[in-house]
Amino acid sequence: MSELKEQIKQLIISSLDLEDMTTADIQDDDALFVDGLGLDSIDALELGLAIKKQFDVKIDANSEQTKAHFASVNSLAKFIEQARS
Amino acid sequence: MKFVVEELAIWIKPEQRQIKESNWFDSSVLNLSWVPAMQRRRMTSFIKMALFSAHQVSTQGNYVNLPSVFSSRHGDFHKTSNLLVDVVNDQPLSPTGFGLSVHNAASGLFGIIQGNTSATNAIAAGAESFIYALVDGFVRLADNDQQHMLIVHTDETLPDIYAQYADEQQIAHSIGLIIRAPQKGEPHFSLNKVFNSGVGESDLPMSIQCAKALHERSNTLLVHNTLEHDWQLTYHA
Repeated sequence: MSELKEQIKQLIISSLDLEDMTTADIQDDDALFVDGLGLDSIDALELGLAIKKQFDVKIDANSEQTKAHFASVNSLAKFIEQARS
Repeated sequence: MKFVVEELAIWIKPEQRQIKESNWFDSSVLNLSWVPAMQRRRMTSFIKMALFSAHQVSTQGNYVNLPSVFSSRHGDFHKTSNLLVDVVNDQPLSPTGFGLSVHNAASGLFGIIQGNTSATNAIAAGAESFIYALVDGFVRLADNDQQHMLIVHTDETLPDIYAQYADEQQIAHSIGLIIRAPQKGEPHFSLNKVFNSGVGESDLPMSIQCAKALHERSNTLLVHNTLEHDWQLTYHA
């Protein structure tokens, strides 16, 4: 799981061009959007695409659950684990 | 058409050695420290060039909420080209790449970052893109009773897979200027389309020919390999 979280953090940094950040700057339970990391709606789309590509999981763009999955690295990791099993 | 150039900034990418070092352009590192980091991270070198030039001239003097024209022959073609490669390979498109590949992306970002709410146009007119940005600026000065117009022209070198179609020197450059209508008796430039000038051809982009002549306040015939006509830029002292 911690390896998966590290992969997710790396993906966030590379797919969203967060050049000045390292994975150590992102806490597992940090809010990714608005407050916390300050990502916006275009980032959400970009990150969704990157996760779909790298982990081969399906993401429903219109579901309320998706919003919850994208709240933090923790919730993303849980979502990807479930989707893959 | 007659106009006065109040501000002029010409930037040419340092690696472009085909243009000899000279004092009519700037090749310093693009400084965009005025752009918030979270917005800057998505910018390609094309957008950075355009915003750099726009900022350089619009922060001189006391210009407020300048109306603008952004021109480019090819736009952010590296970004577009990457998207096209994804289409060919049946890959999903990057939402950021898609959103910022439109021709008015640089002008839109400039408006958002500067809080500029004035009208803006984005122009592509082949080899004459910069000329038609000047024409558009002039028309809007004459028609809308604008005091000043901000004009920004930017071009990247063509992506490698399109290099075979190049019909002029590939020079990454950006030009920013502010024009206004001349007052009576004031020194100004005029720009006119001319036919059958009989003068030789040039493979230097017309935008660079024109910017250099504006800087030097020289009378220059702007010519291009692909055009039947030329443009005469004249300085009336």
